[in-house]
Amino acid sequence: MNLKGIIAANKAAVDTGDWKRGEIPRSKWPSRRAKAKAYKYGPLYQWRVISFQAAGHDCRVLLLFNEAKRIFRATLGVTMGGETTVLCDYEYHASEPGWHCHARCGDVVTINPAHNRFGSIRLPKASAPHRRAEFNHVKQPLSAQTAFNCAISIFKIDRVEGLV
Amino acid sequence: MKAELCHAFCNDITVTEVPAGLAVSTAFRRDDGDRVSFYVIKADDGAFRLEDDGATLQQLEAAGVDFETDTRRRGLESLLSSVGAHFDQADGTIRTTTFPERDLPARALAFVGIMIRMNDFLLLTQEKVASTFKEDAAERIRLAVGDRAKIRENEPVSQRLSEVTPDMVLEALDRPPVAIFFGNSPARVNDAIFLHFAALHEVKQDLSVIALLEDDHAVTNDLRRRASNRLATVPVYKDDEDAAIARIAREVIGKAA
Repeated sequence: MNLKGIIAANKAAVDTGDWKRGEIPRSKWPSRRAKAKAYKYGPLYQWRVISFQAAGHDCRVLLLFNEAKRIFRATLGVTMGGETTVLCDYEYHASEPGWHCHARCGDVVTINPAHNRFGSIRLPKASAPHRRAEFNHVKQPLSAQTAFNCAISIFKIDRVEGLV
Repeated sequence: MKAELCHAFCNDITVTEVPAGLAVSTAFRRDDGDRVSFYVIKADDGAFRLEDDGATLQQLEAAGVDFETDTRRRGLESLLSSVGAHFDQADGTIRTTTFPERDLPARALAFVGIMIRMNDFLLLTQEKVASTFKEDAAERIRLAVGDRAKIRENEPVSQRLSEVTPDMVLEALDRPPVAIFFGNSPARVNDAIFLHFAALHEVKQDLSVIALLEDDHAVTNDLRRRASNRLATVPVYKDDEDAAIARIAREVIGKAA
């Protein structure tokens, strides 16, 4: 199962979590490799973790939203054996020309969990035109709520088993 | 302000207004394809400061870089202080002290310099973690020891021995604890030697320290000799994995292993 399969799969046991600030509990994004500061974002950041099952995998999406600096990141990970393997960072930050993702397209069981976004491919390429350049979602300015809707939409988390 | 910045960075700079100030991206790219960037923040008194997006150290530590070890913490502090910057623990950002607007181009260039070097940490991290050695070895140690010892990972041996953090600490009943460092870099082997001396001379605690080398070329011969003459054992993992793990298990639980 790869990134496209996880996104396309029906989702179950969806827990949408809540927006919070401060330290992210390690249990929300398990990683033996990550050190303490990996979970300590400043007060300008809001975070939220959405967890769900997809194609038999324990999946979660970490949302990071910094309105003051115009940063939004939705990171899709699959947790196996106490380690969360990052499959995709979908993001906007004002220092880039538009929305883009850092994706790892291999089979989730073969992707080395020790690699992160720095072992990914950037889509679109940095020098290519970016279709969406504004800090918004469905023509609505990005807020905590629209950022959440954006993550639900991009990773098809609303494709809940039995409903679709 | 924009004209001065553009002149300083040639023409590849982009400056975008955000609520916090200005988001500035440079021509330099990180390994993930994104631009090296920073923010210009205007303080209440009219002075300026520069800061990162508040995720630089977070991403490094997510990749496994540990800035709590004494050597790396000093290295980071030295790097940041060279441009009048520091890591703000409360804010989670790398930020400079404030300065007048006329200093902005020069300070911005200096700040970009260290942000590029921060990116080098990421490259080094990628090289370091490209190997599955640590994960494989840790898993085999867990299997070999089973429930015959309490296993802690990425935690200090004790409060008094907290200056360096081993990769694993194994504590079996009626035996001294064993601290294991995965020696895939000279820094980790030096950390192991430091912990050995701290336990022996400062805290006077009975502690076995092991540096498990990834392969025969993980460290220089000099460092390997220093480690072998001081640590409990310095096994080599590659091409002799079973024997290396068995040696560690014997150190943890004795000959019963």
